[in-house]
Amino acid sequence: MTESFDLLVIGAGPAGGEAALSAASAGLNVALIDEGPAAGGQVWRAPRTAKAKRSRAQDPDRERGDDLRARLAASSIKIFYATQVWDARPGFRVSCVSDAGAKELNAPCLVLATGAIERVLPFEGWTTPGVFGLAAATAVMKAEKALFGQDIVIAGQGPLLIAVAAKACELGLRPRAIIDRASRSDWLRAAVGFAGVPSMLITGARWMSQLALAGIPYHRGSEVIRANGDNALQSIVMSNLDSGATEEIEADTLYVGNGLTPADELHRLLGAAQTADGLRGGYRTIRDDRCRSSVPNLYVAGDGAGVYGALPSAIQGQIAGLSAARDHGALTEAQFSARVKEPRRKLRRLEKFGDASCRLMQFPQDVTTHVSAETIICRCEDVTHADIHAAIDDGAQDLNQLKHFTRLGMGPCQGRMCGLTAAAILNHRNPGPKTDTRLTPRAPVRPIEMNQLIGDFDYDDIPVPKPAPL
Amino acid sequence: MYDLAVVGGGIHGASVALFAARGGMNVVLLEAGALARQASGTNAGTLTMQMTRAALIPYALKAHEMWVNAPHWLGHDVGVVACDGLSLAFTEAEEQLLSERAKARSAAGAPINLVTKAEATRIEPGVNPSIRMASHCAIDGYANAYLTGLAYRRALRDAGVTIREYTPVTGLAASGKGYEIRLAQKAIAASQVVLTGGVWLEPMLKWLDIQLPIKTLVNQLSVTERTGPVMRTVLGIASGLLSLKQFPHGTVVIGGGWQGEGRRETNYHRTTHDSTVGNARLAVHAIPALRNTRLVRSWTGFEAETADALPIVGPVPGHPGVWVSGSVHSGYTSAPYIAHCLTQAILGHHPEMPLFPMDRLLANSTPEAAHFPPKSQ
Amino acid sequence: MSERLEIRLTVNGAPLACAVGQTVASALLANSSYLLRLSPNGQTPRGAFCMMGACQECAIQIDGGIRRACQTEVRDGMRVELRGAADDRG
Ligand SMILES: Cc1cc2nc3c(=O)[nH]c(=O)nc-3n(C[C@H](O)[C@H](O)[C@H](O)COP(=O)(O)OP(=O)(O)OC[C@H]3O[C@@H](n4cnc5c(N)ncnc54)[C@H](O)[C@@H]3O)c2cc1C
Ligand SMILES: Cc1cc2nc3c(=O)[nH]c(=O)nc-3n(C[C@H](O)[C@H](O)[C@H](O)COP(=O)(O)OP(=O)(O)OC[C@H]3O[C@@H](n4cnc5c(N)ncnc54)[C@H](O)[C@@H]3O)c2cc1C
Ligand code: FES
Repeated sequence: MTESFDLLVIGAGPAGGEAALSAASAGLNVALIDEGPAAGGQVWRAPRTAKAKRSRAQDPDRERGDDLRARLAASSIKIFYATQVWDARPGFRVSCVSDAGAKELNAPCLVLATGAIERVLPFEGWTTPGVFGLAAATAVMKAEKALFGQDIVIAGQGPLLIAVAAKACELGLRPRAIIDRASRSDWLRAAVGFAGVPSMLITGARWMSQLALAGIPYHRGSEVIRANGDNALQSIVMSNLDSGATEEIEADTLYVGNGLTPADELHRLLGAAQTADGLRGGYRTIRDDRCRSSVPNLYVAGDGAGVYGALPSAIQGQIAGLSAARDHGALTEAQFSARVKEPRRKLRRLEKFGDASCRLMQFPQDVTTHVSAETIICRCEDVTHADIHAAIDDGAQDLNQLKHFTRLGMGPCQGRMCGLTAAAILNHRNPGPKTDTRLTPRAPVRPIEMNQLIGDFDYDDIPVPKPAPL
Repeated sequence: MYDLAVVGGGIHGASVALFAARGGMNVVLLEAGALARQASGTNAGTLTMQMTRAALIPYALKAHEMWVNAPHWLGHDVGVVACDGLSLAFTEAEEQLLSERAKARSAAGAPINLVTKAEATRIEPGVNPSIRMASHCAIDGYANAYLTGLAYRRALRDAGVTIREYTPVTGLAASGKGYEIRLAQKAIAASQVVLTGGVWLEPMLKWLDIQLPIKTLVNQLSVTERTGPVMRTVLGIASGLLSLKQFPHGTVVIGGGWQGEGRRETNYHRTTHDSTVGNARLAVHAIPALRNTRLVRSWTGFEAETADALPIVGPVPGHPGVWVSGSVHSGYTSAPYIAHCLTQAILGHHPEMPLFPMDRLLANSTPEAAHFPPKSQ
Repeated sequence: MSERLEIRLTVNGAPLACAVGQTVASALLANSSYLLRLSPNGQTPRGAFCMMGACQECAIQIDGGIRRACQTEVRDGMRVELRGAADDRG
């Protein structure tokens, strides 16, 4: 089954939602695809349970999300929710699956707005049930107004750490500890950047003071080095980054995260040029000031192309949508210039905040020195830190070789959780230029259920090619 | 000055380098990327007679025996599993095709016989009960192709081969008593040269002003996540367009020669929507339990084919001391044995089985060189 | 609990009540059921981790197929088995 449009937008978060809306407002026939059940993406995620829907707590993200969802619902955009994109080919041909089966959507222009995923620095026991990403906490709090766990520890680095801790307190929970890799001076440096966006600074300061008032122990310059427990988390061990002093804290639930990294599999599959950028989550997809990537008629917006945060993402989305409309001939150059002027002005101001918060999320360079030999690096395949060193000893020089030697990255997450960490280890052992610093992306970009892929079919309808020569 | 320079580190080049070094030669192996990362590291690893061209069956049988004994001669693990192989027929037309093909292949020496539905179901309990019949071969199995690079690297190192990865060769010219092999920076010298460039044999032969078209097939494969046991054999289908097996660690690799898209010139290759869906449907039709699995990855690789779909293995005419090996159908299966025969010739011995000289494919080929396929001994 | 639990799942055959809009993962977590499966290689215990569909740790048997519990909305009569794709290997 194939359907055609003027523009396809993958991802219905702030970036994709706004891209679809601005392109549709310029007259394009747009399809918007998201694997979730509603628009909003990570940060403007829609409430899903009655309890969350009822909540009247003041929440600007919820308001922005509701506004986006209302505008989308009122638009002419064809929206495919609960639809997973598993491949995209030049042209553009986008392969999707849903409970309705597999289909291909076609359009001459494509916007990628796939957002970010979280990076978590591995530590011993991080696979223990009860250890979650920080992003997991925000997802559940937004969708359900709930957070799981009795004895909760919140750890990691970056703005999400404080946000999760503060929101947990609002839900009436009392985390046993907050463990922050950043020191006080790291935060002060970041605050200078936040100053460009006063509302952000105020929110951050309010969260910090809420936590102080609640008397939650806040450990700066520290990290979790071990999670104890077999079938369920029992305690965590925290270590001070300077002194090395450790402390064990009882916990049944740990939320831990070290920043965001672009979900850029489709960008890479389509061959969009990228550049290493530690500040933006590792790698950033190169784009011009019209959000055009290096691939003709491929536009990139939002955290999927480099982590900037929600508001810049939304504006990048607007620009990408207008840019596609311009290239498709629906806007004249003059109309385009008039319409992007205001978004571009806002974007310049907001990106400063992006820089500041990204600095707090910057992944430490020295991952290898902190992580013990037994620590699992590739969760899917149980490949340990020691296994990686053994493979390097055996001659693995690049990431794809490491994969063949160890099965790292061959499991269902396809290296999403371990790829950057493994690359850092490889680089540490083996500095200098390499051909493959990242695992090659391939379809399906995320695992697909065979049942959805193949649907119902008759044997006779399978287009079996002509037999090979005998 | 090396005795032998091998250009291309796939299964063919790596095997020739290994055997030549063991035969006493001072060998350098030059590979543009990493060892066995093209066809030889990304193929389905099926070691089957039921998809092999009849002319190659004698070689494939010998090679199968080698694969099963890999720990002895290679010394390292490529995850070889020997098991039963079944080729299935679901329609009357497929029954016909299966019978013809089984007959031709058994005439060439493969122990293939036709079995009833009941017998096939006993051999493979996971098979779709709607099969009509099958052909069975007790000599079948598979290797884990992505281990090829690691296993050969260890073996080559042990044998004293100089391995030069990320070293693309850019040209070749006669010089003094041997050849000059040009690299990006400088050149190296060797008395003899073997070209084992897979689909890149065509540009390699151009270095010697030889025009020999090599067709580039873009084969695609998919793999499921590790899953509970769903099958125990290597499965194919009468047309040859399915290859299916479950590795001991639980993943199921789905292939059979469905075509992706791509070009050798740009090294661009990828899967297509229709081939992914079509191949998956065929797989689930054969093993219905696969419907409840998840597909985690699909990929493509280049397979080389000559105009007559038979290999080119032997001396390069007009260039004494230059050899070629490639375009072998089911070329992973047969590689170790074909490399063994070629190395015998390079070392100045008489090869155990006939080679496949390329003369037959050249414009000015002589009539006697065109007698192919060769008769097995 | 202010939530009305009007959806009934079975988890390993036992009933579990949950709210409309929950995901299978959150329904299990709300019930303190953290252990979802064993990893196929090391046989180490695993639970949900990212809750945003990326890590695949929550992929368990739901209505016969392997699905990500964190991306699957609960439905009345749904059958959930705390078992990963390869857990039942002999
Ligand atoms: C958990 C979390 C919390 C965050 N909290 C904040 C915050 O409080 N403030 C802030 O400024 N920033 C926050 N960020 C950063 C924030 O996510 C982004 O800045 C913002 O959401 C980016 O918008 P986006 O549209 O680029 O991506 P997203 O909002 O992530 O949207 C991407 C969308 O694409 C969809 N998608 C991706 N791949 C596919 C596919 N293959 N098929 C179908 N659909 C697909 C996803 O389902 C998702 O809905 C947070 C990030 C995360 C991960
Ligand atoms: C997807 C797929 C599935 C397959 N499945 C099977 C199967 O199940 N069973 C089976 O028996 N066969 C199978 N085959 C066929 C088999 O993989 C090939 O026949 C075999 O691997 C070819 O080996 P080779 O060494 O000739 O070529 P390759 O493995 O392609 O090696 C050639 C090498 O030459 C190098 N090279 C190229 N140019 C240069 C240069 N200028 N300088 C230096 N090095 C250079 C390349 O980088 C490459 O590594 C499959 C093939 C594919 C693609
Ligand atoms: S918990 Fe990561 S995919 Fe569900």
